Amino acid sequence: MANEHQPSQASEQSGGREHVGREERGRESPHDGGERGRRTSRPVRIQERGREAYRDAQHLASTLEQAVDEIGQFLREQAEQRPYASLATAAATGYVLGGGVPSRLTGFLFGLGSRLAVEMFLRELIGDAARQPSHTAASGRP
Amino acid sequence: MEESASSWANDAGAKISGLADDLNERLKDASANFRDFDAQTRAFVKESPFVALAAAVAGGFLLGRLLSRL
Repeated sequence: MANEHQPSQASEQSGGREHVGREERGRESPHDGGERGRRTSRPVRIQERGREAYRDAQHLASTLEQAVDEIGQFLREQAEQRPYASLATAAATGYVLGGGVPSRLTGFLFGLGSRLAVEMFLRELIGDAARQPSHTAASGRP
Repeated sequence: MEESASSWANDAGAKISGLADDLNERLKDASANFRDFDAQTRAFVKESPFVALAAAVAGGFLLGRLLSRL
């Protein structure tokens, strides 16, 4: 009798398990990590990623806006305090962008300027060196 | 002879004095014009700094473009 009942019990048990399994699967929430949960959580995750990207983009936009404001403020202050230096810097920037640097005239002017600068530097150096011994002699040091 | 020489010297002195006065007036005018230009430039840069800077960049760009062909 017991042997006759075994298959039926097994089928009942297995059927019960299937039933329970179905119920459990039905009860699974999307965040449980189950197969169905994984399927349903993917759009949610994509949505969250989208929200994160939107937040990041907003943050980037506000940072960029702040940077542009600060640059504008800096340029305005510089233009108010040193108008000619600012204009000369802007014109030099335009000159470089216009490709005027490799021209012969620029090379000539640059060479002239560098030679003058070296000459002035040497004069100052020689003047300092000439002044130093007289200064030490006046102070009475050997 | 002496009178003509002294009158020539007087004329020359008067002419030189006139030229000096004229030069002085011109220098004063040039100085006033320069001061006006300076004040106008400063006022324009203060009122619209970005336009002034953009104009300077454009001017430098054109100059660089022209001189790069030399």
